[in-house]
Amino acid sequence: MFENKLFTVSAVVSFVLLAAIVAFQYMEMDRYGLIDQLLNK
Amino acid sequence: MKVLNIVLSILILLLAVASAAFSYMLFEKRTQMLDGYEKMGSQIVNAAKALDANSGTSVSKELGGDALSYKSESLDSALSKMTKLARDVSAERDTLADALAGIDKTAGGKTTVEELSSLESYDDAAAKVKSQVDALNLNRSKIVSALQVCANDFDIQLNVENLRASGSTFENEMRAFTAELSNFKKYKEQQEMEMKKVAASLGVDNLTFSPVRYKEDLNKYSKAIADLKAAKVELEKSKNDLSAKLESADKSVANQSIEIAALKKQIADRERDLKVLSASIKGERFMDEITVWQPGSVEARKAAQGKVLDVNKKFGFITIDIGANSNVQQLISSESAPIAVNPMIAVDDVMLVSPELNAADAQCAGKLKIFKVEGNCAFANVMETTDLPIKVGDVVIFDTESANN
Repeated sequence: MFENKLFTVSAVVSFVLLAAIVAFQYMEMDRYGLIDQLLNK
Repeated sequence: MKVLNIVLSILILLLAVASAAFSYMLFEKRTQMLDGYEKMGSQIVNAAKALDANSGTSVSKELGGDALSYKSESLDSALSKMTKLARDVSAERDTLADALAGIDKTAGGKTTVEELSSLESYDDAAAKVKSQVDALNLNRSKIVSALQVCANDFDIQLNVENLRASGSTFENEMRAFTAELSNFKKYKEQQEMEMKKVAASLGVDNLTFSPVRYKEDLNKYSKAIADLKAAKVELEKSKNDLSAKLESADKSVANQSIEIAALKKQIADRERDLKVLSASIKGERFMDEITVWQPGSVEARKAAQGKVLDVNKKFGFITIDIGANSNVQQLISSESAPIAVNPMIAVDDVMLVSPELNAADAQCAGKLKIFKVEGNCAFANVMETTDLPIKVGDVVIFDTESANN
């Protein structure tokens, strides 16, 4: 299953999208001060 | 390739977990922000209610309901109403502070607009303004009371309520009061001027009646008047002495008049006797050169002689026995009967009273003035008296000398 080329493409696309989502969420959290809040815990 | 796919899958899994965690945290934050937003809206409505109180506005009602909801399409206009209300109330505060500062300045205070506008100092500043206005009002009350006392002292009508009023009522009352005071000043000046004239005529000069010398000048004036009164008393005394002397002389003259009249009558009788004797010696018949007296003539009056019938001591009048019908007898000749002539006694005739008409003892007891004439008597008031009392039986004759005068 992991040797399927199509799987690889979909995994890369998913990874990129998720990375973008997480990056966006990180920026939003940093905007509201949640990152500092987390780091200060 | 397999390894790559496995790593990618693991990374995707990790990212998905991280994303889920971040999503939860962001959702929590969103919920927290929404709560804060609602609290802020609620506080804005409360602030609007506080500003609306006694302001005559109703912005809080317009901000109620969903007007401040994040879903509301009219959020901007609703918030701008709140901003406008805050600005209006602030402008109202500034205007009131400015007015209060003006009032305080008029009342003599030094409170500034900034003190009245500042939240920290407005309470004390407002108390200062109130205190200053209260002091001014107290002063006004004291002035009105003083004016009332002044009006009472000068007997001026003053309406205190009108003095506390404003506008034309106050001005009219004050104008009337000052006019009355001006009149008093004028009267005082006129009075002082007259007093100065009187004092100058009495030989007292340099009277000013100024407040400093008022008492001293008034004493001088009173002394001058007292001296004048004393001089008047002296003059009255001198006048009475002279009057007594004059009265004594008048009595003496009256007595002498009666005496002269009696002597004249005696002379006339002697002359007539002489003529009768001369005629009888010559063997002639004596005829008087007689002219018939006219009623009321001086001769008839001179011949008239009456008596006091009554002296009314209660009312002070005298009754005599000569009246409108009384006659005197004129002897025309020894052969013919005498003729009766009326002396015509009348009201206001003056008559002399004497206890005795004998020339040697003739004395005047007084003068009478006829005030009523009856048929056989007349009533008279006593004009003058002497030391002799007028009594019943005294002789009464016409005062022909006075009548001639």
